[in-house]
Amino acid sequence: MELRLGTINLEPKDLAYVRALVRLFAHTEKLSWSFADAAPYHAVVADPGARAANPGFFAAFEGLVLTLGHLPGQSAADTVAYPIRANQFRDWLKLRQDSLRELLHRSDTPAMQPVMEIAQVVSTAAPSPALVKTSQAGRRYKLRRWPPADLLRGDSGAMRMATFMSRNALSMAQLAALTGQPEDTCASFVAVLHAANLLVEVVAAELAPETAVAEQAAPVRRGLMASLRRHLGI
Amino acid sequence: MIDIQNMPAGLPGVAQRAAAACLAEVAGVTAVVIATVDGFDMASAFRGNQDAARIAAMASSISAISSMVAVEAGLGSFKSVTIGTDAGFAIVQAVPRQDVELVIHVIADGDAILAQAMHRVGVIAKLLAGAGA
Amino acid sequence: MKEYKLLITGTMGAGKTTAIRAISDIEPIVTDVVNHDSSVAKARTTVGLDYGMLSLDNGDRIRLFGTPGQARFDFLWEILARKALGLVILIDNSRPDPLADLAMFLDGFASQLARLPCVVGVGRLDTHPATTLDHYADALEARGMVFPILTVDVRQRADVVSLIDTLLGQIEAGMALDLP
Repeated sequence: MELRLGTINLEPKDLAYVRALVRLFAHTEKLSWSFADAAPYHAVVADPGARAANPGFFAAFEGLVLTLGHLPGQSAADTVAYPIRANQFRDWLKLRQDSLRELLHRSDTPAMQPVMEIAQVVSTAAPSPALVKTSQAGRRYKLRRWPPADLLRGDSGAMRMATFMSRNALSMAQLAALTGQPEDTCASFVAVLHAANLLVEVVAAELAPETAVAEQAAPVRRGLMASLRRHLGI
Repeated sequence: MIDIQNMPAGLPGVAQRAAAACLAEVAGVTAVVIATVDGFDMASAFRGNQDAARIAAMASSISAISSMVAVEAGLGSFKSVTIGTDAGFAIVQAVPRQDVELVIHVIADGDAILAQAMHRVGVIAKLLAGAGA
Repeated sequence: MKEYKLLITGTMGAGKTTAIRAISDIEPIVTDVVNHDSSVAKARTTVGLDYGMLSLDNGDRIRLFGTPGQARFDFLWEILARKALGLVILIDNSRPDPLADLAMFLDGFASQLARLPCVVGVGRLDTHPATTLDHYADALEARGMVFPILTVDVRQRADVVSLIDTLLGQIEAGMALDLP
């Protein structure tokens, strides 16, 4: 049975290295892991910043999250030295492969639940904003499809961001300017959408320059839309 | 779809004969459609390839909007409206019945005389108002 | 004073007239008549248009237009959609094939939807959950379209307001980047 390994907030070079190692081990060690660009996952490799920002969340998936570098109070069993030691990474993959196989073969849905839940929950984990901003700076994203309700969670800010991204390919700066949300919030939301495979990246060269949005957004919004919202009591 | 079985007995037949006669006897008339007020064609007669269903729907929309104009203007109930065009005219006429509301739609070209067509439409309306009762 | 138009369409019984009534400043003008369509258990149906209005504090007016829902009135859809700011499509999830209903409106407004902001409101999802919002998202994605999809009970003013608020977000997005 093939097992899917994902990543959370790794730097591009680390992500590329993990991907290469997984492919190598599939060939040399006959491991059952394959690298997954999108959820669902059976396990993930996480950036320590994301882990530190969401300790409770990650604690629920002990054994299925491998952290790069060691955090205080964290078990060494699920960390790998940084820069990534290939042999440590391989050993962890072997260990988790055996335990997951046993778990998955044991029964049906109830046993699968904690494993497959990580696919959804991990995809909605709040990533390290600084890292997200760095990796996404200058890129523009548009929604490929409307997000599921459990990802939006009835949050008006998320709805507003998704609404704008359903219509335009936007950078973080543009999304922040249009929605009035902090750029970190936009970056986090975009990371969640990206993890859920809901985004299409659009080449920035084909789009209007960043400044155009910032200049046009405020006066346009402050006209008809604001008046209509006031009238409706929004 | 409209359920003809639920129409008053004999009414569809009377409507079809009236439509055919109007087409044959009134110069310039190119289409006659008699429809329910919600846009289903009950009877029709054409010279060309018009779409009865589409004309019926249009007639009901025109009738409904015209009815609202009459009400808003405080002028009572809608009776008829005439649409003048470059190459002819169209008449939409309400049929006053208690059980099922109908609309007559007549399309005519440049050979038709408006007064003659309007008179005939009025006659059909009276006929249908009392038919199948 | 400027005047703008918002258009509400959707299947028969989806609640177009109700939605307009929920937010209109005036008693809506409706052109509903006796329904003879034996396939739908509804006493009356809109055959012309519904009309409501919002008078804003800056003097502008928003005209709310509701279309007939049946395909045989699709000639009115194009007419009513002219110069509209945005479109709301209301779907009744209790109907036999709500995705086919959505397809009908996406086809009927295809030329307008290339530029027109749009929101899809799905009613009766709680009592008829077989077709989910993800199914609607799938259907739109298959056409290369992305529109907000919301559950809505048009009898609740707050739901209608939320729908319009989402549509306004779409309109803002288009205006802000000068989309055609």
